[in-house]
Amino acid sequence: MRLTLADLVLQGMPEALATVAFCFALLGIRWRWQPMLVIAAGTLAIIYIVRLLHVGFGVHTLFAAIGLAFLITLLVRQPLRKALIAAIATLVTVGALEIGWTLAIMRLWNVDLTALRRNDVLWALAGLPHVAVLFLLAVFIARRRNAAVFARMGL
Amino acid sequence: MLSQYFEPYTERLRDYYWTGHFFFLLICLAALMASANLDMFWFYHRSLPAVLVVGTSLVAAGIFLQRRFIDVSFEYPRPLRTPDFMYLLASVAMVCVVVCVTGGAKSVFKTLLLLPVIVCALNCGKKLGLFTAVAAGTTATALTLLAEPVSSLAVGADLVNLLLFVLVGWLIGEISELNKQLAHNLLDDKIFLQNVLDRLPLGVLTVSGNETVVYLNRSAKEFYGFTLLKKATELPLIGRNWALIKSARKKGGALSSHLRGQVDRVDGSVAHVAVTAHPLRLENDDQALLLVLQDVSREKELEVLRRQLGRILEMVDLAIICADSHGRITLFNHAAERIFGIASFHALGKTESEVFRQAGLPGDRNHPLFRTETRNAEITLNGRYLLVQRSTARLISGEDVRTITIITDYTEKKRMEEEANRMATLTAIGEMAAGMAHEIRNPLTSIRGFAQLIYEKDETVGIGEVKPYLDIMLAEVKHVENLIANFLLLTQPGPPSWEKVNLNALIGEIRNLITAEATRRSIETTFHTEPDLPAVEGNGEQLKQVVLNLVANALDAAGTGGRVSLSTYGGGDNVYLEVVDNGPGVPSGLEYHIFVPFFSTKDRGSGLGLAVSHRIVTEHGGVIELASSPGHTVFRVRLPRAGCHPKSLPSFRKTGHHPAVGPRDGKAPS
Repeated sequence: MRLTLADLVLQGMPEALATVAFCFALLGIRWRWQPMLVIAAGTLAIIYIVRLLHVGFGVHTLFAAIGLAFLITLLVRQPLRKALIAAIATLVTVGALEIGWTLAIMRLWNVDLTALRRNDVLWALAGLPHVAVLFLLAVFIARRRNAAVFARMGL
Repeated sequence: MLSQYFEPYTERLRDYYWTGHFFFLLICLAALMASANLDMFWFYHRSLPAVLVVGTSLVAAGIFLQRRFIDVSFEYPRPLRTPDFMYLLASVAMVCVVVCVTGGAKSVFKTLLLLPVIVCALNCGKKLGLFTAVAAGTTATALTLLAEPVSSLAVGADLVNLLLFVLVGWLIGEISELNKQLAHNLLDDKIFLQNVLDRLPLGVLTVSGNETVVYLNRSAKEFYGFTLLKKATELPLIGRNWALIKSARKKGGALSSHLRGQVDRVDGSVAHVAVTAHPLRLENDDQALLLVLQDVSREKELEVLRRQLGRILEMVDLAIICADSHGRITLFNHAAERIFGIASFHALGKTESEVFRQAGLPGDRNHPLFRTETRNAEITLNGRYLLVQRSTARLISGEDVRTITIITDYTEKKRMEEEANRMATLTAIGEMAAGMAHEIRNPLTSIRGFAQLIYEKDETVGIGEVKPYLDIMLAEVKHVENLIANFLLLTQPGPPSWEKVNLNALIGEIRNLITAEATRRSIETTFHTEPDLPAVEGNGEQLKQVVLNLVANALDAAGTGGRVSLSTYGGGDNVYLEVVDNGPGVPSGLEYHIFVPFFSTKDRGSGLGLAVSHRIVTEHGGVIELASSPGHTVFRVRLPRAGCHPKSLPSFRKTGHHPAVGPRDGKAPS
């Protein structure tokens, strides 16, 4: 499976950051970019390494969930129990959004997955919207949990 | 009971157990996915419902199961129960299924790397356990990657192993740290409690069910010399009363205050100790006892002192009343009961005002008993004479101010004084009457004798022949008359009229008389009168008599060839008159007697001169001072100058009129 650095930075990093933001929102943690960036980078690194090892697809998601939970526990002092549940819930959401959006594109453009994967533009197009949706969901949840979160972010 | 102490630790342990099992579930899932070696296309074509179902189930299971599926307990020793067997069987079956499905049995030997992970986590805690786990898992994976050919299945299995190592390292590390923390906390608590108990001024000891002393604090050891592992029945005081203490244990209540006695201290002194026994539950020993020894020696001394003071307060004849800052009576002794006629149990707790009014005192706030400070105020209550002292005091620093009232009943003393005064007056009257009788009897005897002589003479005897007798008789009558006049002057004081008198002028009037008498007796007289001497206010005739009396005494004392000087001078608000002679002086010890009526050191003295002079000077607001030594005697009369006399007030003048009494010829009586 082809995995380029461009994929990692352009598509992987925003996705990881949105994942962390969503997880933070679920846990009710105030968004602070420094730990969020570190956790996102750490999670992305775990995913990258696992995928480089050519194990079955989907294993990297579980490793990402466990890594995300441990990093959250270490950096923002949350119980591992809560962090694990939040991480699993987040990655299930990510997976559902990603698969659902990809299937929708495949239907809209009437292309199969091989063709979609071969076309970098289409693949990037398929990879980014669900990230935006995830981030919007995170904002929505965070706002529901704490109305002042936007003010703290300067928005 | 212990669960409340273990609750925080139980919560944490339950959290770890849940997390560990959830983590293990994820590992199993990862192993299954890795063994299935699924590709991306499978996921995108078939797995959306599966992802949603599995993921949602996983999250729901995690949330709903929470942390309650394993009974976490600090019970020790913990018996093995049916749920434990079920848990073990399920765990083993699950692992077997995973191993069979994944074919992970090939890498089973790599799980031996768990050993260092466990050891590090147990010994060094979570961080080093995790580090060792990652190192071990990475090493195993690296070995697989180095081997040819590289199998993705083997790599997946190694990665699953890595996760297993991390799980074990983390879980054991956390539990190990928790246990250590628990042990440290327990130890800290034990040290803290030990310090607290050792610093208590109480002797604390615990006795097990088999009557052995199993704990002693420092006070019990150092003060009383108690020894650990000794039988309680051998301890002083406790041993003697062991049956009583055991009865308290059976009842399940605390035994206190019943057990008091003496215990020998290590330093040889004797301590009065009160023992309190409490039932105590030690490990599997519900017959244990906690004994607390309190040194009550000081308390006992204070109790003795309190009783002594109480007894003294009841014995003294002084009424003592104490009241608090609100005026409520806190002490009302026996004498107070007697004086006020109110029992103490009626007075205690009431306000002073209530009690005083109940006793019949007026409610006037200016009454000595209602004032804050009173010094020796005299009051009468029910015909009794009382002396009141009242003051406020703060008996203990920080306490309220209290009022203390002390009342002395001096009724008996006053009656005795009055009786003594009456007796003294009667005695004085008797002495004066005797003196008068003595003084009058001699002239009467003389008159009677000469009258008898005249009576026995022939009728033809001419008047010329008996005239000497008549002269003597008249002289004696004159003497008696003078005596009576002086006596009346003594007993009927008060000058008839007041005027400004200049002592120099007064002396000038009688100077020739004095000089003549002195010359007749061959006595040298000198006069020193201060010019511009201030006038005094009084009766000139009476003051003249004072001068004559003093000079006559001085002439008598100086005798033939002696010297008498008379001087006047002013000083301050007073005018002084001094009469000095060089006679033998007043015998020691008689300085105060010479002013007593009818007391005289002279053979022919009536003893009224100085008494009358003293009375006159006193009436004029002055004093007579005497300084006498052999060869030098000074009588100093000090009189207030005009305008400074208290009796110069108009009110006194109106009431100060008395008939003039004094020697008619101006001769000083001797």
